[in-house]
Amino acid sequence: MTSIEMLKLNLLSPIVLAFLLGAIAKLVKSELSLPKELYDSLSIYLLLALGLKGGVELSHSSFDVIAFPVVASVALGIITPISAYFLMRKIGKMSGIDAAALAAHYGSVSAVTFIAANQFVSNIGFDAEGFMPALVTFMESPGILVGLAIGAIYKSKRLLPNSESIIAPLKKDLIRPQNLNLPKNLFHEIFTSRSMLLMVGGLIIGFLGGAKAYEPVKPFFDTGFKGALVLFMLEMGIVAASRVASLKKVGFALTSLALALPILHGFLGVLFGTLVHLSVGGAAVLGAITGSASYIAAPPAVRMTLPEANPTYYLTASLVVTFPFNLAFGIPLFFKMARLLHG
Amino acid sequence: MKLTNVKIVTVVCEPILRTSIVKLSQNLGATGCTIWEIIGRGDGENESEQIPGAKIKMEIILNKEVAHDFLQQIAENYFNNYSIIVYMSDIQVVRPTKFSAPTTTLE
Repeated sequence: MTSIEMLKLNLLSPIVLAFLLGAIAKLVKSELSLPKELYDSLSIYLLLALGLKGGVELSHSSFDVIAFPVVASVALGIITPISAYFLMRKIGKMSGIDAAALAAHYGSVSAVTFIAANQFVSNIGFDAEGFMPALVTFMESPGILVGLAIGAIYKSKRLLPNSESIIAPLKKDLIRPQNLNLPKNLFHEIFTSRSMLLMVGGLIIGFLGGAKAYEPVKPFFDTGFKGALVLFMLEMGIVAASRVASLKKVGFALTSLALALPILHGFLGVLFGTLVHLSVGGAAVLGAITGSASYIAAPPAVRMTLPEANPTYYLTASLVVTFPFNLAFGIPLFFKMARLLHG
Repeated sequence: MKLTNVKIVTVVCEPILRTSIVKLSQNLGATGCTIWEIIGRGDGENESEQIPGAKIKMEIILNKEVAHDFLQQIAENYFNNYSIIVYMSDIQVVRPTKFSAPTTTLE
């Protein structure tokens, strides 16, 4: 299959076209939108299904096979926020706080991008390893934590003298709500987020029961999966398009970086995936995970910890630029890279 | 029927602040609150949520003295960095003890 054919196959997939339909609906000011409850239900279904399938696969994978990919995922989760921070500072000329907020988003991952990538490689006959969902969970938390840590270090070093203007002086006898948030609540937020709980929980349930226990629930979680994803994408398109106007505020430099970072990080992911002996499909999917930016798990954690950062920057960059780019072009590109690296 | 004057504080804010504002009110003796998920827009340029305009509205009944503290603490802690509106109104309730943990009867 040539690259053009692959790109065409991806662009004409229901997943990408549903996203486009949602975006068009918003742009022509249609009243179409998914009820919030359905959107929530679909995301719960997708994440749990993902975890379950991954867990079943883990139950018959040997430790040797998954150990190195896990290490690679954690390493990528630590490297990518750092590279994102420096690029945002040096090239994007972002403030330290905004760069750190963006770093948390680009260090963390998008589960939907992962699912789309998984579907893509399996459609063209290069199924990724079944334990890939486990790798997503290993990359997600370090990414957010390192990004937030950079922000905390930056604040304590650079902002302390002026911090009076940012954090209102507090009377000693008053309760300080910031203290309620940090750091205990932060860890709580990250590790009990919906995506973490459902994916890790699904992995454990799938792992404990194995294929035999999964069999009775398989029709529900397998058959509906791709259809549910298409519906979910419709809403993603609507949400992304409703933010398009913010691109003006975000500016050229950040928009360009939001396109360059997934390519750079995606390449790192493919490279690491290849080095730890993932298959072509597996390396491509690891590239897509690494190249993706979070827009569900990271925003609340960042908002809580780095409230000074402008949410318009990180939400627009990850949701309006990086996510659609990965969906349409990134995923086939990472596959191409994986093929080349595998020789 | 004897009615007691108390305050009702309304907070419209980003959903992320929900837990900390509830805790803040509890620390001041509030015994409960009512919360809605809402959509709206204000003067703020910062969209904080994945779904633009998604906010929560909270109503908390407090006694007079504490209500002022509550407003003040919200102003000091959240006004600089978050999308938030807070206002309070006078209301009359039948059972004042229901809304205040350390009982303070006001007339």
